[in-house]
Amino acid sequence: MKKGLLFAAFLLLLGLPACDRGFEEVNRNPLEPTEVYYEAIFNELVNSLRLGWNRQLFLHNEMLYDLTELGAVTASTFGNIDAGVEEIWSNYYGALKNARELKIVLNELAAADPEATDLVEAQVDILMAYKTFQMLDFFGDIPYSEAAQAYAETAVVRPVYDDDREIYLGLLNDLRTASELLATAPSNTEAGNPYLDLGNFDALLGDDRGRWVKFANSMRLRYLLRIYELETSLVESEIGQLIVDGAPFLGEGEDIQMLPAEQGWSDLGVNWSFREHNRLRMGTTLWNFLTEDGTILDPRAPIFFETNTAEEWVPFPQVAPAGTPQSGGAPYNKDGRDNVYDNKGEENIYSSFNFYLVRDEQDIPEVLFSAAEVKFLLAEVFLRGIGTAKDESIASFRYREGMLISINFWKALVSNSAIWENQDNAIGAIQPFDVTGHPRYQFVFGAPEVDNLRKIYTQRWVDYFRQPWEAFSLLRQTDLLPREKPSNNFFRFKYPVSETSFNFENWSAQVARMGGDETNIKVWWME
Amino acid sequence: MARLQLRGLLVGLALLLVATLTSAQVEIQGTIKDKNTAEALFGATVLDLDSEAGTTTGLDGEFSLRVAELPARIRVSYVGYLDLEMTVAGQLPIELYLESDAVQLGDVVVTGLGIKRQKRELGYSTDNVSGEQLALSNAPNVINALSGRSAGVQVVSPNGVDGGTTRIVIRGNNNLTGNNQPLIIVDGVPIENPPGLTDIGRGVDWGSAINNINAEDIQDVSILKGPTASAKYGMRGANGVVLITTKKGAVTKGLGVEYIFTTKVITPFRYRKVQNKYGAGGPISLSEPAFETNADGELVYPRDVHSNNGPFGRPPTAQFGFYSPRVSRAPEMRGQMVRWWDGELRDYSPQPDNLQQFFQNGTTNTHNIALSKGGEFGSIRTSLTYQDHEAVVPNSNFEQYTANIGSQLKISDRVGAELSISYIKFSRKNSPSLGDDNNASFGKGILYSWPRSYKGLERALNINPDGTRYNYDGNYPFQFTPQHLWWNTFNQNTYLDRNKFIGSVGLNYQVTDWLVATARTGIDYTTNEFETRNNPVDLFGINEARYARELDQNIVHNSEALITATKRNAFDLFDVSLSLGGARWHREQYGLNASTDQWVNPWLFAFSNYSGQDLNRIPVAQEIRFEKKINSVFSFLNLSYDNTIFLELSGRNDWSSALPVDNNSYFYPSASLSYVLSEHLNLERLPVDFLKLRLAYAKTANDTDPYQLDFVYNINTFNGNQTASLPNTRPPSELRPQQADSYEAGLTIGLFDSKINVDFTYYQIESYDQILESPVPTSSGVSAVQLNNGVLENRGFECAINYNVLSKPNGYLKAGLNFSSNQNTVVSLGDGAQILEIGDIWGDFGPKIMVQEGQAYGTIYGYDYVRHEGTGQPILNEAGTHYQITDNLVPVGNSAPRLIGGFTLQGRYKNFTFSALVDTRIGGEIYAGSYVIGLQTGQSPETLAEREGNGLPYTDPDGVTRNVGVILPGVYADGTPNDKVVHYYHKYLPNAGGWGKILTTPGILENTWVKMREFSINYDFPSKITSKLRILQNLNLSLVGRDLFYFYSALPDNINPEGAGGAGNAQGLEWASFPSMRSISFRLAAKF
Repeated sequence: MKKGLLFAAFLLLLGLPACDRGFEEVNRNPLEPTEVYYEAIFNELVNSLRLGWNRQLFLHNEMLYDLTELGAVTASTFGNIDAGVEEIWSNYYGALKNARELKIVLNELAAADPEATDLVEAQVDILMAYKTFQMLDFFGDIPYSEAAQAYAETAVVRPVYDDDREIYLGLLNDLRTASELLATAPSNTEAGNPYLDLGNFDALLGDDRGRWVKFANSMRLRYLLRIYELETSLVESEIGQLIVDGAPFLGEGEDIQMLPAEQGWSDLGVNWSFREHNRLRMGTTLWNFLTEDGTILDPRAPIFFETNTAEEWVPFPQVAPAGTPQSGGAPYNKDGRDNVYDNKGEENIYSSFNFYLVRDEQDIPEVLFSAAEVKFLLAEVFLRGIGTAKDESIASFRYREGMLISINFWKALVSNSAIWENQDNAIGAIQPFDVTGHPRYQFVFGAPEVDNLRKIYTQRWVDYFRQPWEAFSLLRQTDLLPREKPSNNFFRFKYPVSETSFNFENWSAQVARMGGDETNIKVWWME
Repeated sequence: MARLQLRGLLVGLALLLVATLTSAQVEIQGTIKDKNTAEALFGATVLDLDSEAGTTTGLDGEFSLRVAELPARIRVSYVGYLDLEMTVAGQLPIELYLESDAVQLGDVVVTGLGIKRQKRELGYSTDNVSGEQLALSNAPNVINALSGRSAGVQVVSPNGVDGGTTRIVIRGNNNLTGNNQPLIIVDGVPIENPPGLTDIGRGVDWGSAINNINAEDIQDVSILKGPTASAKYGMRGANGVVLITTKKGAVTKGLGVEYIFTTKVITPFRYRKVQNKYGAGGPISLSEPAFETNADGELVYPRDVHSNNGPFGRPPTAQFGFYSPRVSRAPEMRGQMVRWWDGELRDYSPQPDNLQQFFQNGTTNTHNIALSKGGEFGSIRTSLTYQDHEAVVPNSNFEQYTANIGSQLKISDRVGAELSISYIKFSRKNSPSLGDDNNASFGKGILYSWPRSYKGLERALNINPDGTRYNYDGNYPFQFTPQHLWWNTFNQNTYLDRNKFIGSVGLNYQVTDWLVATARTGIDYTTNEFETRNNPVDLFGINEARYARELDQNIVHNSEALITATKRNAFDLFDVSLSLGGARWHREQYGLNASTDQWVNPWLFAFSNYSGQDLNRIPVAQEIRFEKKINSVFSFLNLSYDNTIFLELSGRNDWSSALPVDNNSYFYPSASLSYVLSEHLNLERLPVDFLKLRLAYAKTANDTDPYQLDFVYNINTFNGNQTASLPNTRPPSELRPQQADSYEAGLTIGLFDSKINVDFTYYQIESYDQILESPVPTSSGVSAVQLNNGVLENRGFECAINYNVLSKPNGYLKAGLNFSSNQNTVVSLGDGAQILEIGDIWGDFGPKIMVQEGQAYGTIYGYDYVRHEGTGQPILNEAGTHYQITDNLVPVGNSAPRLIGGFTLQGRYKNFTFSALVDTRIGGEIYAGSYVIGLQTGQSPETLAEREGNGLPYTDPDGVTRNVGVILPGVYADGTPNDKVVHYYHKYLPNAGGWGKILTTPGILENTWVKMREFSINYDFPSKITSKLRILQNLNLSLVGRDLFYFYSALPDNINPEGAGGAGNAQGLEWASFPSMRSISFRLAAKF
């Protein structure tokens, strides 16, 4: 009996006391941090600027190139737009969540001197404005004010939709504030503290405040011009101010772009997106514009495209008559062509996009905002006299400058690419000045405004060759672009399935407000 | 802390030893045997009724007991036998025979923590399967062998090959998202049994850990159903427990050596039915399919069916959703000569065997040698097993060595010890990719990518004479599909090396005749090492090469101690027993893995081999960590009255390290009552001779995975610097344990002299505070939020009927039938969550396993027809070509079966024994992806009807009328029936795949089947013969067929009804499954 009791007591001693001693330590997450540098969150925002794979395949290559006639889809598409849309949606709201978090972290960090975080916040605002404008142009109204608040103290997981015009105008306001702040900030805050900065965590612009200002101003120019007809007085006053102030814009060599080699990543998605569908080819619209009677006029043509297997330049008809043969072969197949460049496949009967442009994972940038575009935007401002006096000579100068910058930009890609071996002779042989002097390109003084505007828009369109989403916006903004196809009333993308499935009430309310979730509903600035 | 507790335990065990030094004056000795068989009874209790001193018998049934004086009154008791009381007058060794207690239905069961109890006493449901039965069935693993043998136990072996994962669920799913499989205990050690594959859609299945448990070493398996088991094993036992006891040796005649050889041949046999008339080519026009010709006028192998200028004015993919161009809708294969894609001229003829080209017969050979000895000291058994397996797919095999030692030691009259050690070395080369894996899945290739004219040229072509990979040029017609499958199969190898050690030691100390103390400590130690070597494809020895290595170490320690005080005949007819115990469980996992695929040096499989061009692809070791501790104390009180009414009460408190400090302690009680009514009711007029009522209630609680309490960032690198991001799933604001209340009522009836025994159980389990991830729109910034208050309910019944048909001296015949049904309802997802996603293959673009409040677990969601309100008919467009499809995913089926069951027949005639097992699943649905894709690709025989002119007259755009038309059943928006004849393409093409919004409903089929699971025949050589060979004690031969055939399957075209992917909670999606496979084994067992 005694022994039994002894044993029982022993067991109790063994088991009972401190049954959870040390448990907290055991359960501490050993792999992920609870605190991070604010710069690391910013770095993630820049990282999120890389183009998604599905977006490139399903939206760019299968739809937007064909729609904007920068290319032609020669055989049927997967048509899985949802996958691309879903990717854009989660990329954007993931970034918005992190941007909101970054501001909270910054505010906590600089509780004593809130002003110290102003400049980083301005950079965040500029970056997020860039992403948000794209969302608005793709979809129209989107969840915004309540969006990406899942981690907020009063978490919202099913956000309402906001009016795209209000967001648009808000962003323009943010951009003005941000650029002014960055342009004018003294070296210390009023309290005498240095401003927080990003140092080498700014993979986009190297924490160069001047370039952030230029990026913001250039963006303002683009989006103000987009809404000129609807918000004329606002646009005139804003642009007028920019011109009067001599505000800095992106200049040659200051393109905003993601650079795989410099940023230490490989752009694997671009080749995948071409390889996977494999049916995107050169179309007649862009080919006809860049050539004359089959002779290459513009050195960008053999940079954008290459000959077919038979080494001929054959565009696919943008509007293909019945019986037009399809394209086959595998001109984007890196397995096949890395070793044998000419291995494009027998059935590759049309000119494809240039293999190197979509194969080089290292040295071909993803362009976010080109310096050339800025020149075209300024050309439009002066041609039309928006917020400033009409001035054909400035317009002409900026226009020509834009073309030269663009041609040089694309030519530089070829020389910068380590793997670009097989160059078409036209690239080196054709001098940019000769191209800009061609009547098709040349600004005509005294000609009707619309004729010169058509040229400016068309050059912007050409320069958008790897920014088909911007070409899509431009196409909706004007009817002055070269086209062979009739309009198909494709004005926006439908909301993703994740919204209809998991945000059904707000989505339904939004759809009711818009009169449907169809692609022929115009975004606000088209109205 | 760990070391301290272990040391404490050892001190405790030492104390036990010291305490044995007791003394008395007179010693009586004897042997206890079974009255019928005269077999010695090990572990019987012998009690001196005067002094209450007692002892237990050793392996040979012998005992010695010191008593105060002679004559002494003793009582002998043994579970399953009637007590025997007698007076011993002298000191001569006595021989006592115990009579088995027939009304107890003969069964003694292990109920956990090593406690053996009469089945008569239990207030809850258990089942037993003997090791002999397991070994004989030669199933791929121990769990597979349980299929159909126990009511309420559902065993699913997902699509794959031997050595793959097995899912076992007892009484339905009780966790919305967590693990629903029971706890597996080997000799008191809880085994980690992570499923090798949970992804329903794709993956490589490396198999469950249970595969490594050697069937030849198993003594028996007990199945404890329902949460009542968790009183003994805590939260980890909440889904039930499978208790495996290994062999510990016995007193044997002869040398005590046993040799067993088993050879098994596995044959894939039930291939999908396909047509063999029409080959590659697709819907490029509505006219009669025709070959294109080349400049020389030769027929050209059809290449692409995509077209902007297709028959529909739009590309067919835009019309029907994505499908592979490799459909079999071209002209008839008549042996005509066709210019193939590689430039060769070949005949275009049927390839009836092209589904089989990837498969071969598999073999498994097992050698087992065991040495067993028993004696004064106890018993010991040691065995060595070697198994090698060649898979049914090429370039895949495994082998396993198992060394096992099991022993029961009699240290003194009062102290016994049990020891069990297994060391397992398992090596496996490759396991096939399953489902939707583009690079390596033959299931996908066969179903989806290759037409009926496919000759499989790639197998020979895949490698060039110089060892490089064959490069298909741009004319290769299958470029959307995995062109390098054969290369990948032979040149991308992954090797798994597993070392596993399971050991336990237990001590049993009879402190006094009324007090027993037991203690046990055990370890399950596993290391896995994966090495992947993808050979370079080029002469440089660099391109597309990859090297990856993963090392993973998993350690589970478990220690427990229990003291039990028993008082018999207290207050006259009452027996009382009280147990107190404690347990400690600790699991630690650590893994490292890295890979490199940007090589600089040819053929150098090493992490140092990288170019560093892409900072994100520099081999950086990823870590896997897991650590959790659970401490427990528990107590059981057993009361019995007159051996007729039994009450068991238990209480347990667990502390889990995975929960917040203020929520980490939780108590749960259980109670069970069993009443042998036949003792008190007058049943004389009825054929009933045994009647027992059972009632049980149990509460259980469960924790979650560790590391969920801290608010963390996900970190990565970009531009050489860290990136930080908030996770995509928002953690819950607080965590508390998941809980369940379960109720069970049962009836056991013995009829006609217990010839027929019926056991019926009804149960209900309510699980609440469930931890789950609920999807939210990504516009919230996250894709899911974690919640902690879901509620789900399971209710159902289990019934087992056993019939001793015949019992004669030279034979017997027994039949058994068991069946069960479980109904599940998700009562609430909590916190306003709208939907719970459990699994999918193609994201939002195809069928998903999801659930909403009020629905049953396993609901299949998909895009459904929009039906006309008045007629209920699906609505078509005015042209009669297209159905309207719902905007969103809606419920279209449920994968849970309505009934599962098994029928067994066992018999012996003289030296022959046989056993047969039929198991069945009735009701419930499956999304049979192979079915709809078979229709779409034109592979399915069903698609021949219209092509052979049995359709309605249809005039194509060229004005040609052929009998290839169909009227799609349905109505127009106004409710009038569709009467338009359209091309049959509209019937077959649109409903397959997970690419955009495509109708799911046509793929939802009932999945009922009845299967001949097992048939074995066994011959024992008569001792007349064996005794002539003096050394041989026993020789036994058996032949076993497993998974032999289906008596019935509701799925068409021989689609594998058990071919659903993965062993996760998502069940019910089939896609590109392998054919059914059967095995025939021959087994020889010889004892020397």
